[in-house]
Amino acid sequence: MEDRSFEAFYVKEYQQVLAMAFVLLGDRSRAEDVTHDAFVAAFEEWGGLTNPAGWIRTVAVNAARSSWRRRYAENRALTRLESEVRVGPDLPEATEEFWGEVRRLPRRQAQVIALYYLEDRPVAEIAELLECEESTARVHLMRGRRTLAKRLGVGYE
Amino acid sequence: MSEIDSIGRRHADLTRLSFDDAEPPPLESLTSSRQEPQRRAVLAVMVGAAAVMAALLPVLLLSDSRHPAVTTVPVPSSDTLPERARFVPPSYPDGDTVVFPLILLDGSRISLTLPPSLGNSVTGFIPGGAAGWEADPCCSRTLTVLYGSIGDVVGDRLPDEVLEDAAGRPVHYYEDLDFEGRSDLSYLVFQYGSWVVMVWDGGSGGAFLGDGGRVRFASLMDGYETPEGFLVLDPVEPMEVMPTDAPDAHLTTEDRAVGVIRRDCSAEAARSTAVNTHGYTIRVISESGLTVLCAPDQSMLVSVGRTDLTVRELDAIRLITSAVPTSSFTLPQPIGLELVAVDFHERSVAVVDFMTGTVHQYERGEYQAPHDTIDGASGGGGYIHLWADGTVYSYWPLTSPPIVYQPSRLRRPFQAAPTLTVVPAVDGQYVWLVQGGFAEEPTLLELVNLFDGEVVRIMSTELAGTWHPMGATSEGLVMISHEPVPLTRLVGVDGDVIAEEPGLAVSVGSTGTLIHRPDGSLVMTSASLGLGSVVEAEADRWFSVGGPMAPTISPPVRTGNQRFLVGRAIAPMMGDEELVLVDADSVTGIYQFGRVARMVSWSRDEAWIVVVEGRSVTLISAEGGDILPLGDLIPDSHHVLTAG
Repeated sequence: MEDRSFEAFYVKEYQQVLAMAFVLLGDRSRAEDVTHDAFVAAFEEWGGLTNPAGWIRTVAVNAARSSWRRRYAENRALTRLESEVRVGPDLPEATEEFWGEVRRLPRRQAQVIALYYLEDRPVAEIAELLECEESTARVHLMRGRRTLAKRLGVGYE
Repeated sequence: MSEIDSIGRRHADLTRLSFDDAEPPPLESLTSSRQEPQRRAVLAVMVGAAAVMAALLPVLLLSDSRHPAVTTVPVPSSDTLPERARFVPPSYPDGDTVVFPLILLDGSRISLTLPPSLGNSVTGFIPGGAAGWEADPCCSRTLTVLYGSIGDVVGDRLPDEVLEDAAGRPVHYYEDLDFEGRSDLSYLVFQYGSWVVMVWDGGSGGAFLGDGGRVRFASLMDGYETPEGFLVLDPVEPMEVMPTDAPDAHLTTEDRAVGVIRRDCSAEAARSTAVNTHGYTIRVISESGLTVLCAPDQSMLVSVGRTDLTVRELDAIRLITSAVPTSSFTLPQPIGLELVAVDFHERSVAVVDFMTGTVHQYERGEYQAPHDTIDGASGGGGYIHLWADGTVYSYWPLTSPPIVYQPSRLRRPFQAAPTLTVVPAVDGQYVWLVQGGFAEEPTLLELVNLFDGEVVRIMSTELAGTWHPMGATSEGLVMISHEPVPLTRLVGVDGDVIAEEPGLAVSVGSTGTLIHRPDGSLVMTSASLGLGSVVEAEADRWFSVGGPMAPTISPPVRTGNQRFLVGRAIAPMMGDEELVLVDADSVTGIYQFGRVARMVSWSRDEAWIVVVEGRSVTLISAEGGDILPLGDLIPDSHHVLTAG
């Protein structure tokens, strides 16, 4: 029988939510902050959540965006002061580059792309998570993939 | 699978692998966070972030429908907002708060007070509503309102049909318009001033207006842009502007929307756990993460977006919506130095022209002409609006652009900045040039060249909208080259430096530099041009006012051209001395005529004097020259005096 406790949920989902936050933020420590806060929120709302896995992704994806915005200026200042700032786990360079290009996309496109590739979610689910029409999510996905392909110099069709 | 998908999934696999060893922190770290106020604040930010989109997609906010006959379609989401031109409404500071006098689609005037954290970061305003007629629910529609031109929406696509609105203006109809990620809806598109109104038709599952309904809808619609820049729809009966489930207005920041919704909010009030100083009940809706405030009379809801506001911030929020009777009169075209005395009880106005000594009087909107008129009296109309909270907005449309933006003159404040200020010491500075309606390309190029080697960014926008956010976010010099400034901003008293080059003659204008250094860093510089320069001022000589080595007096009103917005907060900060510095390039004139103003002021104790001088306006109580809150003098009723 499936363990529906918060603890089981936490253990099961933590890595995926963290990875999601990371690819959207490009910074491990900030991703951990966002992930932590998302689970704190989930813990507080636990009794009322019907789809906690979806809910926490919605929260994390949006929080990642806010966090990025809030810390952008701060990060630039930090970068000026420190010649080398370690911002992520040891990913292959090409993978770093790929997610970097994803983060350069418009916010919604980046979110859709991350959910699509990293979580392997169908568009309908992505639309539900992002609280938009499925057709809208599909357009974001299409545009995001097309832009990525162009920037990375690979085929789109 | 396409190549990009293949690459994407491979990198996703590698990413997941790299997180395989990521151990979740102990569960206790989550539960203990509940007792840590700081973590709670972070949590609030995060939870609220999920609701930012919801706030901008207003259908999520409300559960009951005030107008079930209105067929709704999602309005543009926040995705698109930053990419479009945005209208930023005028605002003014009131103590520690920022007040936005707003006009809704149906012409209602409201004043929304926000904490500075919200008010100073507002970057846009979007009205909302529906239009239609009750008798035929098929044809009522939620409106999509955008700031800009039709071309911004449709590109170079030609309309499939051109209809006419109630005033005979062209109304464009586009079938299957590619808009907001959809291409299955057709739209009627109206242009009123700087605003585009889109009325959708058809689509999957949607009701069609049909040919007849489309023509009728277009023919009943009418609207206009107010002098303050708001959109008002004024359709012909039986069409009316109606509320929807969505907010009647949104103020947007970069990541938040503050919505105003006119509807019964007793349900929210009943579930609230807190009340702010102004009697607004506060409720956090856990499902959406939104915080909403219900007005004391439970007739109006304010949604402030995510739940990260502090108690102090929530305490500042209020909305004033008093019914505002209107009257109208015509003002003479100003010629430079006038005093306008307004008695809001009697709805009377006196305009004193200091150049000729002529006094024009108006009683309840009618011109009494007790004295000789001046030549300029027939030159054009003016406006004085009084908002529900006592804000006075006076405005005269320009009949011709001022003689300004001479590159050689504009260069002066920028040359002066390095010698009179700490500009060179600012690390990593940006130079922002905010281009208003009069700047010409050669002028801008001149300015950019002055800052060779620096990062120069040029924004073409309404200055009011950039003033606050740019001042708050700039890392260095903010340089503003502008004209229309329907905004007053109280800058910090300490550390202000004003470097001015007096104008040479009336109507030539002057240039100036305003620098605000509240914490030692330079925040803002403006090149202030416009009418009202002082003839007597010594030409071509820079002087500075304020700063660390001199008494600091902040200019409480600093406007451009002939648009003025003065809030009540101005009054307590003004005395004779400050009045002198209402605008530094008209020191002499203000000083002299400020004295005269008291001598000829409206004799009634209740009256207020509105001093209009060139680019500056101030309110002074006629009672002994004291500065009193305007609202105290208007206990029950408010009046708007509108020209025309």
